[in-house]
Amino acid sequence: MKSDKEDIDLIAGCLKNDRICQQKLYNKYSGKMLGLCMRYAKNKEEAEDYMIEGFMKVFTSLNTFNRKSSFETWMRSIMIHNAISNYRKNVQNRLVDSMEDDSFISEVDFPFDGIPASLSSKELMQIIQEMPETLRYVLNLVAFEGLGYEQVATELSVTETTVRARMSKAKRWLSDRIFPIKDEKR
Amino acid sequence: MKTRDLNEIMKEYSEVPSEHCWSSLEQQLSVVLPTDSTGISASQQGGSLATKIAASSGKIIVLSSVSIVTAGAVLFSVLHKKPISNSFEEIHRSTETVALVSDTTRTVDTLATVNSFVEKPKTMQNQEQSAVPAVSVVPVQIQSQTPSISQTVSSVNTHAEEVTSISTPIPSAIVSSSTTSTTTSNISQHSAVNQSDPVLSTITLPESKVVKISIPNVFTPNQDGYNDLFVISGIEQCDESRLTIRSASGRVVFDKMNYRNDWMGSDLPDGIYNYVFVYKTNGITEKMSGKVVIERGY
Repeated sequence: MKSDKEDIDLIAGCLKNDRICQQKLYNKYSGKMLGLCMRYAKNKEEAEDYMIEGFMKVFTSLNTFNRKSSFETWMRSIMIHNAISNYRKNVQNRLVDSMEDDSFISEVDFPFDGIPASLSSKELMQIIQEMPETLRYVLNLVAFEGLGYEQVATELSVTETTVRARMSKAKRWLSDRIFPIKDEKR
Repeated sequence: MKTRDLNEIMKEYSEVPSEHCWSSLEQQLSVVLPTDSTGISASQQGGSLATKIAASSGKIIVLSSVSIVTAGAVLFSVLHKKPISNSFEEIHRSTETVALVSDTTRTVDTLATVNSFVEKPKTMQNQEQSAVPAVSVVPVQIQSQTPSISQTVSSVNTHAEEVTSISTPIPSAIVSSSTTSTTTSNISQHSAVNQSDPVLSTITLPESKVVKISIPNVFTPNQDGYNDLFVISGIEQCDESRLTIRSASGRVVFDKMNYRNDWMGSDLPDGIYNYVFVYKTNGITEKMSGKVVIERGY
């Protein structure tokens, strides 16, 4: 997917350090990027911090952007990596939380394509944000960004078994919260 | 029943950011990527102290040496002043003192060094360079005296005369402290008094245990009775700890909460391993990391 014409013009402006182009670019993508950061953060304020940091990285490293690929995809990957590096920073301060039980629980069959239409995306986002951080990052990277277990393990500096265990826990978390709601609304 | 795909919903999800986001982004941009027109003015308008320092680091010399014991505080006072040669009305005062909560434990005599910067106004920068030193440092040394009930810490040596001789009167130091420890009241009470007095402030700190951690860089788990275990000395004094050992390729080979000096290398091949040791003492988390060699010698 190629970047559209508008993007290319904006990028050229941003490279010249034109504040107006930077603002236009921000206005165009901030909604989507905040939506992405929301999945990694535990609330909107934290997500906004991640987004601002991410945009700073986008603007400062814009010269490394390879114009053959889609600009949005490139921005997304910057945002994701920014979120992960924040997670790594935090993880060392949470000594007690890291004392988690990584024992494997039975695989939960969670239908990712069977989300009841009655659930609004806001409600779903809230469910994801309430999830413990360790599960949330694994869910995000595996289910939403489509990374393999091995890649996720490297990104988060944990073992692959841990990633699998966390993923099943995350699925259980989701199905516990999504399907009771479905029953109520029926 | 209608269903949807979670991935699709989340991929399309977007949310309108709050209005302050762009302004704070713009502020950061003006520091990192200043445009010709907005660069200086935006950085003067403010933002965080850190932003300011970063922006004007070319103009002022930032001397920040901070070493702290227990729950000490970092007093960071930035004084902006104009030299004497200016008329009195022009004297621009701005004093910022930030007291930060310390993150550090451990020994050391010095508590905090307070560095004051005297920044010359931008207009005066070039003409007055030789006449007036741009930066004068007021070291405030805080020493711990009695380890008994509480560590009494006092600060001395304000080079008050030195400062006054090169520039206009010293602005009063305003201390806005945000300290979580019990020292808060002491700091603000004492240091707000007597700016011209040589004794600037007296800080009282609670007693705390001193933990000295030492991690070996090699051990030999060959059952010969010598150095068979990976022993971290001082570990028994940690309130909480976590030891993670990785192979050279980054695989986690050992990971334990509250390690009790009983690891024998778990049949790993000889070689270099990386450890990360995170521990908590006096409510403060610290991290040590390095390399350890397993060498069985056969």
